[in-house]
Amino acid sequence: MAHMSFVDILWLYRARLRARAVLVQECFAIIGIAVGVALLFASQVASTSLTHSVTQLNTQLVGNTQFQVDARGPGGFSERLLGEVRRVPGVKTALPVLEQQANVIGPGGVQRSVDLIGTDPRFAHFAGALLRRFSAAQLAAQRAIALPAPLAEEIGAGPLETMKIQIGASVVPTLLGATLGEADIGGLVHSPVALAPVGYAQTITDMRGRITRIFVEADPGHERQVRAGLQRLAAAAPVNIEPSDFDSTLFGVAVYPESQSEMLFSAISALVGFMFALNAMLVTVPSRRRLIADIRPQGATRLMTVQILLFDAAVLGVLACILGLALGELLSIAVFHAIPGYLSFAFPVGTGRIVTWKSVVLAVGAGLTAAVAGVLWPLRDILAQPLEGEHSSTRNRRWWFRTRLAIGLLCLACTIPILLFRPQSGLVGLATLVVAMACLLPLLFDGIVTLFERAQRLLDGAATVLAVTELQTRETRVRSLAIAATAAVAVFGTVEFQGTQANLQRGLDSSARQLDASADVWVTPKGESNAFATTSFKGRDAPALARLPGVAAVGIYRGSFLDWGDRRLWVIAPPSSVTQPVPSSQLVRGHLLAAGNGIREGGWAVLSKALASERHLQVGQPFTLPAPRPIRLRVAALITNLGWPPGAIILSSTDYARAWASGDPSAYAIQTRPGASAPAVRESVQHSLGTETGLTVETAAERTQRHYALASQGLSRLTQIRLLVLIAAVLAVAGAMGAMIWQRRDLVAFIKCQGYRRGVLWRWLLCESAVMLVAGCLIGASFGLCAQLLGSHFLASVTGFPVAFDVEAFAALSSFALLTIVTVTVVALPGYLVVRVPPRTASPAF
Amino acid sequence: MSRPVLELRDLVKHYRVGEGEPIRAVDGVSMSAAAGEFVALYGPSGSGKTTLLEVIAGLCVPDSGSVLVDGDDVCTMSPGEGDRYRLRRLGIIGQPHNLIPGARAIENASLKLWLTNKRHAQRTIEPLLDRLGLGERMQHRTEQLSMGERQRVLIAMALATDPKLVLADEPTGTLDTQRTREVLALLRELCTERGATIVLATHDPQAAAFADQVHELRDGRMGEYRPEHVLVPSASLPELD
Repeated sequence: MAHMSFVDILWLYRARLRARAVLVQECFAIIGIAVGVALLFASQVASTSLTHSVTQLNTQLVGNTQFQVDARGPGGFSERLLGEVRRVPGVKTALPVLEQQANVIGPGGVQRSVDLIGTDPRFAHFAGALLRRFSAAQLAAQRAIALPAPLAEEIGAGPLETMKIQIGASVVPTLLGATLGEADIGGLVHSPVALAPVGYAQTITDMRGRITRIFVEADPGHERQVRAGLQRLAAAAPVNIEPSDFDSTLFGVAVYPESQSEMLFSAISALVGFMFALNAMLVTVPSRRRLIADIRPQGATRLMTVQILLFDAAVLGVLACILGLALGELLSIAVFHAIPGYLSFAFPVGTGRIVTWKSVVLAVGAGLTAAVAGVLWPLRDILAQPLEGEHSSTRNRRWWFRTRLAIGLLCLACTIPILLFRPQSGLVGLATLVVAMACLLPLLFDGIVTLFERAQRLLDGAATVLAVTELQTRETRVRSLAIAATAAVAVFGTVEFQGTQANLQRGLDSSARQLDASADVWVTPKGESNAFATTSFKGRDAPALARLPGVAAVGIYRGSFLDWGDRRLWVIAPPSSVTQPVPSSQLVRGHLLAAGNGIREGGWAVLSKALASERHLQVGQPFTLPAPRPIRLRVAALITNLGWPPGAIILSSTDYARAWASGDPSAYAIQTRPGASAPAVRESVQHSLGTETGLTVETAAERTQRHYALASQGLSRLTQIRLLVLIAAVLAVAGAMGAMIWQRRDLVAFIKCQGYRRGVLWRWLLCESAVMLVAGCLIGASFGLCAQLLGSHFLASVTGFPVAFDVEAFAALSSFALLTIVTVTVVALPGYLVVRVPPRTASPAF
Repeated sequence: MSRPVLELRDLVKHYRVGEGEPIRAVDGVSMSAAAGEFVALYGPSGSGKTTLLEVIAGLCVPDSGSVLVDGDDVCTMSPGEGDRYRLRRLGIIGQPHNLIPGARAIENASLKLWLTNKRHAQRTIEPLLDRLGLGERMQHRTEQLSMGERQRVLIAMALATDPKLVLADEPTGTLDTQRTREVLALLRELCTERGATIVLATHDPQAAAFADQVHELRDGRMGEYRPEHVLVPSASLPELD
């Protein structure tokens, strides 16, 4: 079959460009595809950066080691165990590490939470790059720490400057021995870590003679032997034996809901981006049809036609992808930056951006696909077999209609049982809902237009009739559907995100409010990462605080994180003075009063439902909590995960002290006397503790506000993505509608000859735009509300998040109104310009 | 003697193109037409026919002269008056490509009625379409109609509001001889029934033969119609429009 050479194709393309016949439309198409690529790329980078930052830190720490001996509690274990580990047959080397949560405070008072890592420099060269670099910094004999350069800059500390470090309630001065740049520690330069020699770390953390981890490298071929030897040692020590990269596994569990959400958000963003690209490409369809009509009579074969079109697609796609990747880079830096949020309480989550080749390939692949699909799909009827007549094309249309309807109804039928009976398959339900919406959208769109057509008969005026006529013509229907679909997808996504986010926010707020309300004033170690009161401190102030005016009682609150299987659990141990230790709004199974009594008495614990399911535990059943000193408890009740994805455990403060072999508090839970003002008590407590304390004092209300802010921060990325999706949708829809309106200049010119005024014509164009948008937004909002319920149920049932179920109609209304009003306003301008064309009967093109 | 429906008095319209001499598209044209009369403006491409029609339609303002339609000077109408004039008193028959793509024949034909008589538009237009032989084709879309059918839809559109004056610029330019005869015969019949005056611009002597009076235009000037004149092919004449 005859075909064109590359040189000929290129010549033709350049001739068309020189004629400037389609330059503006092609530029619009490039921008459209670029926005889609940018959205997809940025959301992918954000998603992978979060997970990779922890994985990267872990890898940099563990190096070639295979195992770790990990302390079960924050108090660590005796470093004598290190000698025993080294004597296990097959052990090549064992590296001790002391890890504690800390706050670094710069000379100006700026403070940041860090993961303080202390290790023995003599053995650092067996470990990962991070620790090897540390030994090379000659800090072995120094009583100093090293910080990543950006962190040091953030707190305003330079090398060899004195700064402070707060651990628990203590604040000690220290020297910043070195700052580490990207050349030293690569991508970890953005991780919140501080390094110190282990001896110095033991001193400043008041953990002399203790460490929290030992990384073990086995001789090749002796891994099993080493593991068995380590397991024997662990039986008699408060340690767990895990793979050396186990923290990544724990993080994976903790970030699972966020990963699932990111996946959904990426999909929605990609879909909106693709619709943007498709809309932009549809604008160029008439010019391509004219091109085909011109070249076919000149003898161009179908192959030649496809070659020319594919070249168009390649040029558009490549240019768009380059622009899109650049835009996406900006987006991922400015907007989609990874926010550690609540995850940083238990994991050293960095803020660095990590771009993987997968993100690039996915974004570029999607962009090129959009370009090819946008060029070839609308012209498939012309490129199809020439003998296809009217009857067969009508038969095809009917077949398509029936198939779409069947698939759409089937997907809808699958979604409803998932929502009612199997919410844990919520993600599948969301996928079937999106497919149902896509399949049923043309039918629903036609239905809404028909309703509008009936309604407008009651109105005087030609604008609405013209609008209906245009909406129902086959010529413009594909574009009208694409515009409506873009609006529908955008509103679907924003309604789903906003509704699920609101339900989750309400649930988290309720959980935080009830937990914080168990005391009137709270005293906890300072630091962003200690929002959950999981850092212990030497509690010597309690008797003095109890004597302060207005103070009725000082309860000892204890809490920490505990690794159980793949879960890093949040352990809550309120004092026995708390009337109701179990937040009532978080109860999933069991009796609230009985559970509270059980905890106060001791020997009972309340578990997150997801955790209990994993361990096959029911209410009343006994279990052994793998604390530093394992303790036997019974399940008093089941609750949500209180907003911490891996789950939570509530037990009595006394049981905690026994199991963790430590009487140190994590917080003072102060009850005020009747009539005493909590802010006044806060002031007197703060005064009593002094200004150099590492403790912070806040009222329950202040603490709750802080938790609200944290929850909002953690969910803020959803808000960012939601807004970006809406903005992209507005741009896509406004651009496509503007182009569609602009292409009607000749028609408008002729209609004006028939006596139509500018006002009527403008109203026609706006009315048509509004109906398209309203139809799309209505469909998107309706399906979005279902998606809200699906998403909320999924979060509640699979992840155990505290979710307060409600239908966020406001989300639907606001997205609907925003998209419609803004887009119609934007489109009003090209409409205004078009209706000002002079009336004429002859078209220059004719 | 009744007042003429259309009266042109010394119309002049020049166009300036670049630095050269202005093109005299209409150069002192005068004519009149009574109600129900069929007037043909005969001339080659570039003779000023389209410009003259546009002036009559009020789509462009002449440099001098006047256009009186039923005694009203079109050249001095305000924009609103001009819109009303074109809506109710004037019918313009366009080209097939002027139809709304994808719309049904009845929708295209009802275009003006949507402004004047929306509720009864369908009832009003159906008999006219039937009369034009489009009874079975009313629900067909533009792309499904032949060129002749599309031209008849345009005629229906122009006559829908019972105008006093109908302007047609080469309405049969894309049709073969037989269809040309059919369309023009229908047009004449309908306008006679309604007492509407037709002004038809054409370069086809066959079309001009349908007219009651024929004026020949050359270089913007009106002269006596001589059917034996051989028309210079349009390609060799300068473009005015």
